[in-house]
This record gives sequence, structure tokens and C-alpha cells, in this order.
Amino acid sequence: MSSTEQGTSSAAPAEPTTAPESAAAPEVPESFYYVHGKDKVVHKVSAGALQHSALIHGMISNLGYTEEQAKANPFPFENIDGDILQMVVDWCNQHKGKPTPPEDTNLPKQKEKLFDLVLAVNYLEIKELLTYCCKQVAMMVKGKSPEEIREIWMIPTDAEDEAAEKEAKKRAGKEAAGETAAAAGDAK
Amino acid sequence: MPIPFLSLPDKDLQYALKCMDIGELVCLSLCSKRTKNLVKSSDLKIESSAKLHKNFIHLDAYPRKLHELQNHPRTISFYHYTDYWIIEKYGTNTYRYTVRREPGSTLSDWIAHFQYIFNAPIIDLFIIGNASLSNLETVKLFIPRCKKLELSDQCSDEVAKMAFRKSFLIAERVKIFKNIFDEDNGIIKYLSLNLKDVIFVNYQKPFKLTSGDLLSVNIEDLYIETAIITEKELNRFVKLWTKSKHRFYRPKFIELYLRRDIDRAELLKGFKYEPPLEDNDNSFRFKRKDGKELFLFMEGRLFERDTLMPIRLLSLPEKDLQYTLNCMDIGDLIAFSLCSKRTKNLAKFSNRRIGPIVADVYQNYICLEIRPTEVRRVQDDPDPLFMYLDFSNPQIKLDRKKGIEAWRKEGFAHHDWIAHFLSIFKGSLIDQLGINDVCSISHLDIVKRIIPKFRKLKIMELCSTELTKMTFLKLAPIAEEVEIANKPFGNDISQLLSYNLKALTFSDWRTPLELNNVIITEKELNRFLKLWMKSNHRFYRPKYIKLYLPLIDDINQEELFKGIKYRDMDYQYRLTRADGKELLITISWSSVDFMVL
Repeated sequence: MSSTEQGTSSAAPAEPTTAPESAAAPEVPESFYYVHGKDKVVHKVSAGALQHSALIHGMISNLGYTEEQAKANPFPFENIDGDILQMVVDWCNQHKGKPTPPEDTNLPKQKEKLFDLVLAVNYLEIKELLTYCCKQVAMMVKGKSPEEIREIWMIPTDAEDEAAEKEAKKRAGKEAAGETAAAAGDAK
Repeated sequence: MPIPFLSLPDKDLQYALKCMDIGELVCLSLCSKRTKNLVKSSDLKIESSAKLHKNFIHLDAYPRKLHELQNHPRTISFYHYTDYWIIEKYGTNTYRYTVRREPGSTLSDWIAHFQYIFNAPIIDLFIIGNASLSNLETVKLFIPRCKKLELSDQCSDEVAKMAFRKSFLIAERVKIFKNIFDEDNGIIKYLSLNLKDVIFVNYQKPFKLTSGDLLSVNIEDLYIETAIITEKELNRFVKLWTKSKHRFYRPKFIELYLRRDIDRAELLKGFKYEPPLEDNDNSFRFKRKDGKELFLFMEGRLFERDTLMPIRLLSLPEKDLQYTLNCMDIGDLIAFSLCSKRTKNLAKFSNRRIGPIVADVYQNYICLEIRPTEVRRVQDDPDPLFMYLDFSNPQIKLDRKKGIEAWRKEGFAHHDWIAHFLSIFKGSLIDQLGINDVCSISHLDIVKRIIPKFRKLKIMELCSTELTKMTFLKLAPIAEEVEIANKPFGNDISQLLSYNLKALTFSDWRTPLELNNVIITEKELNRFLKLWMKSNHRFYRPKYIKLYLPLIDDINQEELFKGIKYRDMDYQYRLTRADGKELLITISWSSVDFMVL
């Protein structure tokens, strides 16, 4: 359902569907919004699909954009990779207006992207997708030993943690000393 | 009012017999030769099993088909001791009879009687428990054949070896719950026995196999759980089989439960096979030159090369990290907690709730059971997790349905594992420590070091007198509650009652506990009440005492409360002492309770 456009070039908004004769109330034409990620590729997404994202839903409600305004001002998510945003948009479209099942088989298959996906979904506040993603993360270590878990989840050893902590303290000390010196210089 | 039962018309007599359960029929059969034959004529078909213990034999029987008038399909149990039987039935109409041995009658006579009245010449299932070698020799005379023989995990290695070697003389079907095989005593010797159906089950110590072992099998149906064999060895077995080296290979079905992922490519490497059977991608057909075919079925998860891209989990936002930990099952969470101090704290602060941790001590290991209390709709949840601490090795073994894994942690001794589990699940102590009959007395001190504090000590019913005594002396002081399921101290339990415990329970269901060599009388109870009333025990600590007594419905209340003022409140009686303290006595059909208010 989503159409992808290069740059910010416009795409013709979808024609409103004709209401069936038998319907009691006329169908409200669906409104569309536009989002882009780090790669600037604009994705056209329906308001219904975007309802999954608490962040975007809140932005739409506050801005009260018209169709034209929405087209001219796509929501920029510079911190999200283009392919990750594409996955999110696809998922939102697939689950538009549907109750989310307890187990989702339509999750993105590229597990190497899982970490970025979790961060993006967390940022966009898509609760259901976040739930599935976290389950996927948990399943990565299903039945694994502590050594395997350490490898899969890139968990530093205690020694590495201690070294990193020392390093951080050292750096913080240096920064504090630098700030003090700068403040002293300013005072002079 | 007695009735001349045997004078009833034959039809009515048969009808009456059909209304009786197995225990009642056994009791009736013991009255005379005539009643014995009468019971036989009732033609009740039963399923029977016998279990050989150290000091007694236990027979279980239940009817194959219930008569419409019998609404109590309960198993009846018979416990044979040197000079008496106990016949016991649970469920509705629970009862227990003790039948004294007639002079001259032997165990053999009892079993023959049992088999005669129920027309069951062969015992269906014969289980060997913690019996000795001499028991084994003796019992062969009484139970020469059975349909199925089972060697439980309670029997010693020596007994298990002997019983298994001679099993083909006793039964065609054998189930063994012990792994008695080692380097010197290879499984190959046993797989070549001429048996029809053999099942090996042991999760703690899996059965090591080679292609040579599989080629030597002379058992028609063989099931092994858990088996340890490499894909290479399995591949070799299939290859050798297809080369027709074993024309007279007897096995028809071999099932190996590996509890791990299988590398399909490695297993099928280098030989031709027919395409997978319809609707099953995991089954293959191999054809030999002589036309014989071998079907290979692989179930469960087949090995996939792990292409997972590692992720930096600890960099995830706190909420997502927390949610991820919530999605993990207990075994995975424990594995995660062992990665580093940071992951241990994360596991701890995930606030995972679990059921009380139970520890059971066996021959040379402690089994810990951790049970999740919540069902969280996550795959494979919420089965309990079993972990094993071997006395001779500081590693921990665990069973996560994919074979037994062994984990080590640098610097971790046995007690560190327990402390770690208690820490991550925010528990203060192990809830129950069970001592089983196979536990060695020499291990009790080690157990105490590994688990220095626990809530309840449970000494199991089959523990020897010496083991029970030593366990009580060594471990009761560090427990809050003790339950003893046998009678190690005879009737002199006074030395146990003075221990500073929150609760002490004697739950030997086989023989009632007698106080001062007699089952406690109303007179003794009356004396106890009078002494309590006279405030002689100002610092009397017990808040609650419950005594299960036989035939309590016959208790003479007049004698019990003789000379004592009490208030009657419908089966409850309230006594008030001069200092205001009150004692509530409740009398039910099988017990009498004393509660200090």
C-alpha cells in the first residue's frame, strides 16, 4: 500500500474510493502523510497505518496538516536508516486497522537489522512491533550457553567492563580538569 | 448385624462381589478356601505391578474394566513385610487393613494367592527399586516371569547390571532408568541381548553410542533417551548398513532421542538416498542391494548454520532491554546472568518471579528444581528447569530439552551456584531439601556446605534408619521445618520433639507412630491436657499439634476430658487456663488437633 518516491518529489495522492451504494454512511477519504529517513527517500503512508506509531500519531494530531501541507513537509527521521524505515512502514501497512496477533510471522527477516529496528521502533513508539522485536531478540539466545550469549549479544566480560569504567572515569577527570582550566582562563 | 453371606443365592452373591472393590475382595478371599474360590469366580480382570524395595514388596492392582456398580476405580496397594501385609486404598472410601501372616505362609504364597484369585498368572509390570542383590535372587523365585521389567533409578548400579543381564530370562520388554555403562562396561554388551523391546531413559547421564554399538543391536525395538552420538557416527552406521554387511540385522525400529539440533548435511554426507517421503522433509529412504530398505526419520530442529549477526544488547534502551529479558525463559535468563556482573544485576532487576526452589539429594548429586510461576506465552514456557550439582565436580548440569549441558564458571564452587540462583531470583533460602534413600551418609556434610540454610527438610520414606538419624542430626538444626516419612527412632521420639523447630511432621503412612510403646490413649491425652491446664508449661512453645490416629471415631471423649472443664462447640472443645491462655481441640474422624490460641 505504500508508495516510495525519490527525494521530495510529489506523488499523486490516492483517489478517494467510491462509497458502496449499500453503505449507510459515506466513507471518509483516507488521508496520507509522508515520512523519510536518513536516505531521504519519502514514503507515503496512510493515517490509519501511522496510528501504530504513538510519536507520529501525536505529531499529526498536533499539526493538523492538510493533504498538500503533508506532502510538502514530510516527517524527517534522520536518525533512522532508510531500509529500516521501509521495514517499519511495511509493517504498519500490513497491520493497518487490524488487531495485532499474539505472534507475528510478518516480522522483518533480516536479523542483522534487528538492533537498528528495535531502536527505530522504540523511537517511533510502535508498541506492538516493539514487543515482537524484543521477543525476536530474546529468541536469538534461546537455549544458548553463557559463552554463546556473550558472543551473540556482544556482552563485555567483567574485566572489559572494569577497564571501560576506568577509562570513562579517566576521561571524565580530564574533561573536568579541562573545564576548570578553561573557567580559570576566562576568569583571568 | 452379621448375615450369612455365603447362603445368599448364587446370582445375588455374584452381584455382591461385583459391587466390591479389589481390596475388599482380597480381604474376603483370605477368610477361607471357599471365599478364595468365590472371589476367583467373580472373574475380575486386573492390571498388576510389583515393586521390589529393600525391606518390602509392593503390589499395585487396578481393574481393567469397571463394573457399572463400582464407582471407585482406585488403585489398591499391598505392602508385604516379613510378617504382615498392609492393604491400602486411596480416594473415596480410603481404608487400610493390616493382615497378619499365617504361620507357615511365605511371600511366595501371598503372590500365588494374589495371582490365583485374579486369574493373573503373570505380573504385568515388575519394578526393581532400591533392592539388594540378595533381594533380587530371592524375588526371582516368586516372580519368575513378568510382561515388562523396569529398573528404576533407585536401584544401585550393581543391582541394575545384574538385573539387566538376566532380564531376558524374566521379560521381553525392559525399561531402564539408569545409565550403568562406562568405559569398561560398554553398552554394546547389553544391546546384543536377545530382547524384544528395550527403553533406556536417563537425562542426567546420557548414553554414549557409536556406529559399532548400533550395528551390534539385537533388540527388535530400541529407544534411547538421551543418546550421545555424532552425526559422523550415525552416517557411518547408515553407510555400513547399506553395504549389506549385516544381513541378519535384527532391529526393526531404533529411536534415538538426542535432545539437540542435528546437522542434516553431515548426517547424510556421501551416500545416495531416496527423496524425502511425502509430506515429511525430514525422512529419508535408503535402499540396499538385496532390496532391504532403511527409513530414517529426523524430528525436532535440524541444525542450521548460525548466521545471526551479533547485536549490542546492553546498548538498547532500558525499557526494551527489560522487555527482552521478560521474554526469556528461566534457563536463558540464568545463562544470561552468568555472562558478567552487569548481566547478573540486570537479571536480578528484571524481577523474575519463580516458585519455591526445591532441592533433592541423590546418590552423588543434588537436583534443583526451579519452577516458573507465570505463564508468559513464550515458546516452551513454563516447564520447570532441572539442574544438577555433582558432588565431585563444581560444574552445573542442566536439562533444557536439548541434551544435558554442563556449565562452569571460573571461581564458582557448588555453594556459589546456589547463592547465584537465590540472588538473581531474590530468594532468601532453598524452600525444601529432600533426602532420598540413595543418598550416602558421607555426603551429608557436603550437602550442608552447599546448602547451608533451607526452610524444610524432608526425609523420604525409603531412607534407611541410619540415614534418617544422621540426616536429622546433621541437617535438622539448620532447617525451620522437618518432615520424616519413616520411623527411624522407633517409638521414642522424645529426643526429636525437643529440637527448636517451627514444625515437625511424622508422615510414615506404613506404620502408625506409637508413643511410649502404645498408640496414645485417651488417658495419656487427658494427662497431657491436665498438665497443660495446670500451667506447668508456661513456656510451652508449640502452637499446633496434629495427631493422626487410627480409629479415632471411637475416641472416648468422656475419658479424654475427665476432670477437665471445657466448652463444647460441635466437634471442637475449648479449654481455658487460669492465666487466660486457651487451647482449642478439634476431633475429626482420623485426627485430633491441639491449637494454642
